Amino acid sequence: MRKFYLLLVILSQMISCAGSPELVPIQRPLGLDADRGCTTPFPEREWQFVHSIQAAMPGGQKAVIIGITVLSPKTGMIECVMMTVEGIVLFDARYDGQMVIHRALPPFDSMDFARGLIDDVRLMFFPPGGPLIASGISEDGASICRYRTDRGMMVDIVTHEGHLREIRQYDQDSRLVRSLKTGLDRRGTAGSQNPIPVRLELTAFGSSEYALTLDLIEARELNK
Amino acid sequence: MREDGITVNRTRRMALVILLFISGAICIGWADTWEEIRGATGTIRTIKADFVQEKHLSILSRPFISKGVFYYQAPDSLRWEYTSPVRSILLMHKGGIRRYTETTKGLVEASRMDHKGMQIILQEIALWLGGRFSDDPAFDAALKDGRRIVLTPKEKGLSKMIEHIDLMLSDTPGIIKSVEIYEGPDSYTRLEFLNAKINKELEEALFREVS
Repeated sequence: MRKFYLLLVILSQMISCAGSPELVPIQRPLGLDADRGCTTPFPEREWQFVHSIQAAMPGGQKAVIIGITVLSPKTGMIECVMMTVEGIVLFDARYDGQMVIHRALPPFDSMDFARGLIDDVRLMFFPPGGPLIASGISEDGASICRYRTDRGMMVDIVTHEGHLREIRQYDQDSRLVRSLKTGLDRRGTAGSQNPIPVRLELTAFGSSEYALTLDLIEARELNK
Repeated sequence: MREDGITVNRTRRMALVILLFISGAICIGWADTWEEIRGATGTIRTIKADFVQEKHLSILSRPFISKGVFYYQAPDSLRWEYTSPVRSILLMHKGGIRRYTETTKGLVEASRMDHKGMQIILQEIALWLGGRFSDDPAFDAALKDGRRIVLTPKEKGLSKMIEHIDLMLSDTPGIIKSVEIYEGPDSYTRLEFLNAKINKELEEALFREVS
């Protein structure tokens, strides 16, 4: 019986990994000082964002919610609130080295969900936490800056032709686990060097696939 | 000349007092008891009103504002439509509740009610508009001074979601002026109703279709 379960686990892992694209090879390597352009898409100061979030979940379920995020790139602090369009708060948490969940209604009431959400927010708005290990041009002509995070994952910051940006996160086995695409439309504010993307498209690969489309409703720089 | 001026002022003051008295007589007396409220709302067949929704949260440096319009037809048909910043329509008609939300592919119907909380609120709104506060299966209602009604959840499960609800009744008999839904000390939603039109003919399709 145990062998049967083991087989099931291995099979499910194989199925979940089979669909995930692998690490894109860098065809023409460049010097490691080329990371200057890669760090520009991230906010440098404290921001408050309000997004409408279209979520496509496994099983074809779709929902639109409002997401409020406050982040401090300097301290790594992230505050998140998810609520219905009608204003009912579904999830409210703060991460500042440790997770504090203020409110979580089912099905958002698990620590795994909270950690996953904070990881996704970090991928969207913070630079990869680790050194640049390679940079260059891929086969399709996109420029890639590759970082190894402190958790042993790989993060590629990819700039396609037309300045379309993509952030790809790979697991320890070099399988793609997250892809974040940012649109060309950006919203700038006075004195801000990094205009904020109006649309973010996050796709999660693996055993629990989902897709989120975030449309910016409001961006406010805090402590100006 | 001075006497004339004093007479004019006195007349104006008297007119103001009479006006205040009349308006007071119109407004006072429709919301002192549940029976009066039920009586006033009993005459209402339809309502159309705009609403402004303010979401107050400690994370927000200023409230998040949404706007929309709602249509009500007695006894329990409701169209609750957000027009900005995200278009979303909730339809409640003949016991069924459906939700449509604007996506990149246009207005899309949700496969099921996204959350139990909104289902409860929609059913509550229909009860309130019908003046059936004391019949409320989910909330205990208390009538306070100043045309204020406070609703507190009967069940512990619901109180985790909603702490209490404050309703302010309008000067116009049968009409709710504002609703405040408290989820906790730092989180509440305020709904203010504007431009209410009462007993105008409404198409039934409004409660069935989103177009």
